[in-house]
Amino acid sequence: MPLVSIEHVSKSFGTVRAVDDVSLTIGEGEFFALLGPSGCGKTTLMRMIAGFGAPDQGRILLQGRDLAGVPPHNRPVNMMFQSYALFPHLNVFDNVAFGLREEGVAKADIFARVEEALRLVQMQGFARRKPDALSGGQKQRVALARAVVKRPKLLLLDEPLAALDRRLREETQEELKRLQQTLGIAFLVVTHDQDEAMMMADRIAVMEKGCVLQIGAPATLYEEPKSRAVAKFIGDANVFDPEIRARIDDRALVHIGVANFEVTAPPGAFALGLRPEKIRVLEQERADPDLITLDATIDHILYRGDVTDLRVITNGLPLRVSMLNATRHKALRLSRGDAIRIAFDPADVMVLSV
Amino acid sequence: MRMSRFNIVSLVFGIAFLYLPILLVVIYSFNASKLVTVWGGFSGQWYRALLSNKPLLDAAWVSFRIALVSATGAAILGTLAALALRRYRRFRGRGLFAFMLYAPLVLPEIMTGLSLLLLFVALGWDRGFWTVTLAHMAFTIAFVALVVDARLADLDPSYEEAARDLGATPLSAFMRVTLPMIAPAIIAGFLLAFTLSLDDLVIASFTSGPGATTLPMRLYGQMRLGVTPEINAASTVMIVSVTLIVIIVSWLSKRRPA
Ligand SMILES: Nc1ncnc2c1ncn2[C@@H]1O[C@H](COP(=O)(O)OP(=O)(O)OP(=O)(O)O)[C@@H](O)[C@H]1O
Ligand SMILES: [Mg+2]
Repeated sequence: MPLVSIEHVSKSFGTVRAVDDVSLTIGEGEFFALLGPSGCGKTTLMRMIAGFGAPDQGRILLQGRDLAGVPPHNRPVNMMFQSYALFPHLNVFDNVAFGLREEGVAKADIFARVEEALRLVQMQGFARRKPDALSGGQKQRVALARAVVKRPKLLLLDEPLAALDRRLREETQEELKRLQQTLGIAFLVVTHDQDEAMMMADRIAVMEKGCVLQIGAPATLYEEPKSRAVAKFIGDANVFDPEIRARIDDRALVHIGVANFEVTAPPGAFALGLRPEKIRVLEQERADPDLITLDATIDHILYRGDVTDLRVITNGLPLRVSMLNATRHKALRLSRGDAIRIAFDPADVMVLSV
Repeated sequence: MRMSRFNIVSLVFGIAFLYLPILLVVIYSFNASKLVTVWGGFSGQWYRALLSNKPLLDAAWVSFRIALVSATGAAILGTLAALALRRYRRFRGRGLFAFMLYAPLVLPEIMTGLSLLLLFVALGWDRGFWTVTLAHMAFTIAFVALVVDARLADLDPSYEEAARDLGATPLSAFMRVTLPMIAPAIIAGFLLAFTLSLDDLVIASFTSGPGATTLPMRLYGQMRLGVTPEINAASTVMIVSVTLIVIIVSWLSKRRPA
C-alpha cells in the first residue's frame, strides 16, 4: 500500500482551478518532488495534504485512511513552510520542542530529541538563539529540525531551498537527500527548479496549470517524456512538428528538414523531440551508416567550459546542439558561420504528444 | 533636508500654540502665590495641598479603578472583535459588525454619552461606578480593535499554521503563538483605552451617579468655582502620567514584532 494516495483531487479558488484532477501516490520512504512553474498549484496541493484547505473533489488517503475531516494537528504529516515560519518569540530550542510539547512528550525525552534533531542539521550550538539572530541557511536548518523532530510519516517541504544562495543550495540539496535516507521518512518537496528536483527526487510529478502532466523517475522524464510540455520543461529539447510521409501500424516514416527516418508512434498527431546532447558534431570521422547526418552552419556559440552550446541551422531548420568539450581543442576550432556536419541516431528521437 | 526659515517659524509657532498652555499649567503649579496668573516664587505647596484634598483623591481613585476595569474589558473584547474581523472574512453581518465596531471612533462623545444615559435609565440601572465603566468600555473597544487589527494585518498566517501543523489545537496555537506575537499591540490598546477613560469628561458626566465622581468631573466642578494653583498641580500630575503612557504606547506599537 502506498503511504499517500491522492485520488482525483481538485480545488478551485473562485474561478481559478488551482488543482485540477490530480492523482498520484507516494511510497514509504520515497523522495517525491512536485515540479512546475509558478502558480501551477504545487503549494495548494501540498497544503491540502497537510490539512489546510479541503479538496473540492477527490480524496487524500494516508496509509489507506481517508484524511477528509482530519484537522492539521491530527495528521501524522509535518510541513516545512516556504517562509520557514519560525516563531520569532521562541528560541531555537523552544521552536524545535514546540511540536513535542504539544504532543505531551516527557521533559527528559524532549531534551534528548531536540538535541538529536539539532545535531542532524548541525545546529547544536544555536539552541539559545532567537530566529532573528540566524542567517537564512541557519533558519532553514532549524525549520527542518522542527519539522522532522516529530518523526512524521511524511515531510512536506515547500520550496525548502528557494531562499538560499546558489552555492548553499547545492550543498543543502545533498544534505537533504542524505537526511531523508538517514531518517527513512517520505519527503514531498515542492520546487520549480528542475535541476533540484532531478538531483534529489526518486520520482517527480511535473505539473502545469493545476494538472499533472507526467510522473516518473528523473531519467524517465528526461529520456522518455510523453508530451511536448514535459520535454521542454525538463531539460532542453529540439521539438519538431514532422511531416508524416507514410504509416504502417505503429511505424511512421517522418520527414524533418532534409531527413527521413522511421519512428514508432501511436495513431494521431505527434511531435518529435531531440535532446541537444544527443546530436553529435562530426569531425573527420566517417559517420556510422545508421546515423542520420546533416550539413549545418553555426549560427551562435555559447561556450560554457565543460560543454559548448551551439545554435546551428540545417536547411532553414534551427537546432540546438550541445557538444561535450572532451578534448582541449574541440571548442577552439569552431567559430560562427562555419559549415559543420552533425549526426543523430533516430533511436534517440523522442515521440511526444502535442 | 534643510528647512526654510518659513518652515522653522511655522513649526515653532505651531508647537508653541499646542504646548505653551500646557507648559504654563506646569509652571504655575509650582507657584507660591495663590493668584493663578502672578508668579510669586517657587513652591511645592499645591502638591501638598493636593495630597490632603480628600474629594480630589477619592475622585482620582475612582477614575483609576474605572480606567483599569474598562481598559481591561476593552482590551479583551477589542482583541476578540479584531480577530473576528480578520479571521472570518465572510460571515453574515460582517459589514454591519465592522461599521458598528468602529462607529464610536467618529461618533461625537455627547451622542455616545446621551444614548448610554438613555439606555441605563430605560434599564432602570442606578448610575455609578459600573455604568461609567461600561460606557468607557463601549467607546474604547473601537480603539483597541483598531490597534490590534493593524498588528494582525501584517502577521503572517503561516506562524499559526505552522503551530497547527506541529500538533497544536486551534486554541493552543492561538495561545502559544498568535497571542505572544500580538501582545504588544494588545498592551498598547489597553493603555490607549486606559488614558481615554482617564481623560473622559463628557461620557462620564452623562453616565455617572452619586459616589462615582471621576477626576475630570471633580476638576471641572472645582474650576467652576475658580481656577486655583491646586488644579494646576492636579493637571500636571495627569499630564505627566498620560504623557508617560503615550510614550509607552508608541514604543510598543513601533517595536518590531519580537
Ligand atoms: N488562498 C487563495 N485564494 C485565491 N487564489 C489562490 C489562493 N491560493 C492560491 N491561489 C491561486 O491558485 C493558483 C495556484 O497557486 P499555488 O500557490 O498553489 O501555486 P504554486 O505552484 O505553489 O506557485 P509558486 O511556485 O509561485 O509558489 C494560483 O493561480 C494562485 O493565484
Ligand atoms: Mg508555492
